[in-house]
Amino acid sequence: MPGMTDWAGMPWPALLVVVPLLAGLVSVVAGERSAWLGPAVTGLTGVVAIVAVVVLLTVGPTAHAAGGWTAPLGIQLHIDGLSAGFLLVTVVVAGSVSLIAPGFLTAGSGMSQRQAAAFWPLLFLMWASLNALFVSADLFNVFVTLEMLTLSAVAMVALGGGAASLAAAMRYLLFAMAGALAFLLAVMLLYVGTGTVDFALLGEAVVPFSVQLAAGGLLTVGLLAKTALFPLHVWLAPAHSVAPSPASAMLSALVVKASLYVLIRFWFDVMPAGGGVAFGQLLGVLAAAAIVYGGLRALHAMRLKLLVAWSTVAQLGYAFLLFPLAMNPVAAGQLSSGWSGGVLHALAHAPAKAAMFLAAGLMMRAHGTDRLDALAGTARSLPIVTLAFSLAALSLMGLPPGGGYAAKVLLLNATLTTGQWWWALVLVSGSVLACAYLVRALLVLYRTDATAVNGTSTPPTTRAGIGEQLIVLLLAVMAVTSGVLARWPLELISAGRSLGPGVLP
Amino acid sequence: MTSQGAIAMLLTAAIAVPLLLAMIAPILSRPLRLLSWAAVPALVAAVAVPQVELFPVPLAPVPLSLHLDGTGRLFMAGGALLWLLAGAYARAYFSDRSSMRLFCAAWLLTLAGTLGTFIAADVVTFYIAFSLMSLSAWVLVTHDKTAAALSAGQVYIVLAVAGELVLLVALAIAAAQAQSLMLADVRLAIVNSAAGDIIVAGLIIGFAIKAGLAPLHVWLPLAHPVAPAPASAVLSGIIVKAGIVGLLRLVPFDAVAGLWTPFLIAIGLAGLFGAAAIGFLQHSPKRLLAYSTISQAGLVLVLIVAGSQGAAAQQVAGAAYLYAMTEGLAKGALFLAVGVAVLHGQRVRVLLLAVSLLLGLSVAGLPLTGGGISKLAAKELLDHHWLSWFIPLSSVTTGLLMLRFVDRLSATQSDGESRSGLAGLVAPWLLLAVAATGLPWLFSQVFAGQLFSLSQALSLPALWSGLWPVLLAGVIYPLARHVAKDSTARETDRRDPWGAMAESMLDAVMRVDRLEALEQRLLRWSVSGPVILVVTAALVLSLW
Repeated sequence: MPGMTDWAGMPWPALLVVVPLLAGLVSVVAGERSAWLGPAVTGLTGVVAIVAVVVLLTVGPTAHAAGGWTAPLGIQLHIDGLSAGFLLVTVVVAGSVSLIAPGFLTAGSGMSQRQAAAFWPLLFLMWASLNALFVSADLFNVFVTLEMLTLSAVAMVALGGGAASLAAAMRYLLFAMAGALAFLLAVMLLYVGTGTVDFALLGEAVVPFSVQLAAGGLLTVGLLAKTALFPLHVWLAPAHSVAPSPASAMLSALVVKASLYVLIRFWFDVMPAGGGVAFGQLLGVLAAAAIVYGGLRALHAMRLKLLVAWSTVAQLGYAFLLFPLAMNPVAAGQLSSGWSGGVLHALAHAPAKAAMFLAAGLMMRAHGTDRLDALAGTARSLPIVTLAFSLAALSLMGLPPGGGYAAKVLLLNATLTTGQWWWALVLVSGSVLACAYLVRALLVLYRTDATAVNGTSTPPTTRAGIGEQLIVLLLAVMAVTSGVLARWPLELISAGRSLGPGVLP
Repeated sequence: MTSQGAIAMLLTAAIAVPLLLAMIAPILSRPLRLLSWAAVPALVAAVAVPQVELFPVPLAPVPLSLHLDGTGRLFMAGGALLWLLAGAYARAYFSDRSSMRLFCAAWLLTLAGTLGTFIAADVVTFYIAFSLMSLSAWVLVTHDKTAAALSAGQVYIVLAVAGELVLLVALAIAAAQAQSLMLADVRLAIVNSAAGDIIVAGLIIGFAIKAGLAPLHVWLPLAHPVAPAPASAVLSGIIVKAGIVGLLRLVPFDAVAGLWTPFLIAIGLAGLFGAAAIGFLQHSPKRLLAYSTISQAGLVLVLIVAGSQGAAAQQVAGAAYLYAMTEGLAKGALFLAVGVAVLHGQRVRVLLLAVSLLLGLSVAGLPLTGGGISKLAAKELLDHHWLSWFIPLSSVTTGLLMLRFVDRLSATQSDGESRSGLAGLVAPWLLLAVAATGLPWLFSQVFAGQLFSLSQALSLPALWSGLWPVLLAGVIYPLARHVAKDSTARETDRRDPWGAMAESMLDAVMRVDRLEALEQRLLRWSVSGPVILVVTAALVLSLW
């Protein structure tokens, strides 16, 4: 056991999990009077996450044994640059959601008091699972945290209470369960084949070829189902669009990224030799299909939240392009711009998408609906919210200086340096589609002659509070500044990688 | 900060300022006032900054780099001036200011993209700037939201995106061959590459669409007449020229061998004279100007290709840029003149027609005007190359086209309502006209490396060689007008078959019901179950 003065040896990263978990327990008792827990958890986990980043950048990656049990039996907590990036984004998005949520849970939300009260334990459970996932250092632990995450996510989709919510939640549950079974099977195969599930030990172990094939395939398909990569995306748009808006923000910004994080972790850290060019190209083909299909569906969406949800399907495709671009002989052995671009895209997409869903939620609350034709002229009634939506859209379109721009430029750079020009075609067509569907939404929001053109525009009934507007705007500004200051997140995510940075000048 | 650092900041600001203004344009109540200011840093940079070697853009997330050479400086100076004056004109031109936010944001993005194209030093910067310009310009084309504008916009965006994709592939292959992203290295690598012909073909297709080179010009005559006058001015004056700059920067004309030279000269000549002939039959002055732009693009291509073979390749290219820029400024002023004619035609009729005639004849090559001196320089430098005879011939056809334009302009009915803001329209227009006539003198001495001496331009043979084609055009004009009269009625407003084809293809992709049917099928477990299995099998196979 560590001595009392040896604070650095204490498993302090466990606080990232313990704090939201305790808050979840308290909120079960406190019911709808749990709103005060949000700032508390945001502050505490925020401080721990910042400490983690400082320790990471000064000391290096840390590993802690929770409860004093070491691997292979105990639970290892491990924080490197990749984890730290996702931990920070979780604080930002979950924190903002917890601060803005009360306004969505009261009057006019369509939720009963009991349903509204159930939001808080689910949010904190989700928060704890996300943090636990990002500091996990073994596959079984990842499995457990992913399941906690899935259950809280499915329950959040069902919170809306209507028939559509239940149907969407049920479909999500079935897909996630199928994915979980595949994932669990893969973990079992790996355990039987190597005798360990610890990331570091698995990396050193000799994995029988047959196990590598079966486990690699099953693990990947399981995570694809949970991340909703085309053609396993069918559950996403209904689920993310019918959930209450704060829940949508969590689901689209963070929950789908969690399984993507595990995929990146597995194929680049645990089994870097396992994936090859063919595997990368296959994921790239699915990613390209997601970008085009999601973009076209978003172009046709008649409701704003549905449009935003379909854009998640398309945007996830971009992050998946890191597999073909980084699993390449040219990129191997260095921290490639493909890898950095994909991770940066996943991170920068989070605040942008959260801002979009929350902005859409505020518009929906003001107008009583999120049908696009009813939202004409929202720029006049909710200028700050519309501005936030536009800034987030800018980042998603990949226009400078948004985070999406920086990520896409890195990906484009990777297509050039690895000579895979066909992915550049996908990137550009996807950006054109993103511009098309987002500009379509923006044109409606900024329409000034709304009532003259069609009488269907509903005058807003409830206004948004100044605090709510500022939270959404802050998220959008973060999405945009992550492009201006892209060098900083890029340095962070590469921290702890032994391979030197390939693209940072 | 060192002076080098200050110069880098200034050149970066030329691009960054319009980009930042584009961010705030959507929230301002009167964003039109931003438009002319946005071009000021670029103008200052073009005038004040000496030649700048390549430098990395400060604060950029990936290595972006800019440089300022003679060509870049020429186009940056002319372009910034045109953007500035057209921006000032736009402020008076649009009476309904409330719905201008999107237009202004798109204008500023297009501005940043255009200037970025001129001073980009590497492929990534160049491509980003070029696409930014291409895509944002779509909003400028469709601003009026009339059926004609929307359909022209559709043709424009399809061609623009197709051009972007072809260009991207060509650039990606070239950059991979070069093992470098710098434009100069990429250009060299194309010469030595086994895939050189594919790359050159891709580059030419991509840039020809933007530059309006026949037969990829179809969007110009559709888009120019429907865009608002200031937008047409920047489209024809500078955005189209970005395609020319792309060709000059990347295609190694001096080294492409085989059939390329005759092929390029053939499409150049076809555009030069074909577009002039079709343009002559047009009724709408703006449509006529669009065909004139296509015609001049053909001439520029012929000059570049012809010059690249000889010893004085650099200077001929310099004369070609100078002509392109001069023509761009004049074309911008002529489009602004159409706007003045429509809004205030009766009040400034004489001034309007006189200035337009001068500008038109300058484009044709009237001695001592901007167009005249650049054509003279090109002709001298080409020496007795057989193609140099097409220069006076082009002066005749352009002269005819421009006389026809002034004719049509004089017949333009102003919409009668006396609106305010006459001075706001006329002042920037006149300034641009003065710049279009006078600035090429300055450019020819300062920027393009002393193309010729002044005494040379003032010599009698030089004056006569520029004057006779214009006089000939004046003599033929009444005759040509009579011949053209019968066919004009049929020619105008004919729907472009290429545009129609692009439109129907677009419709096929956008079929909502098919996508919906696919989604419904994927939703069924009897389908999604097997899909999961197939994906798993494919993943396992790919890991083999």
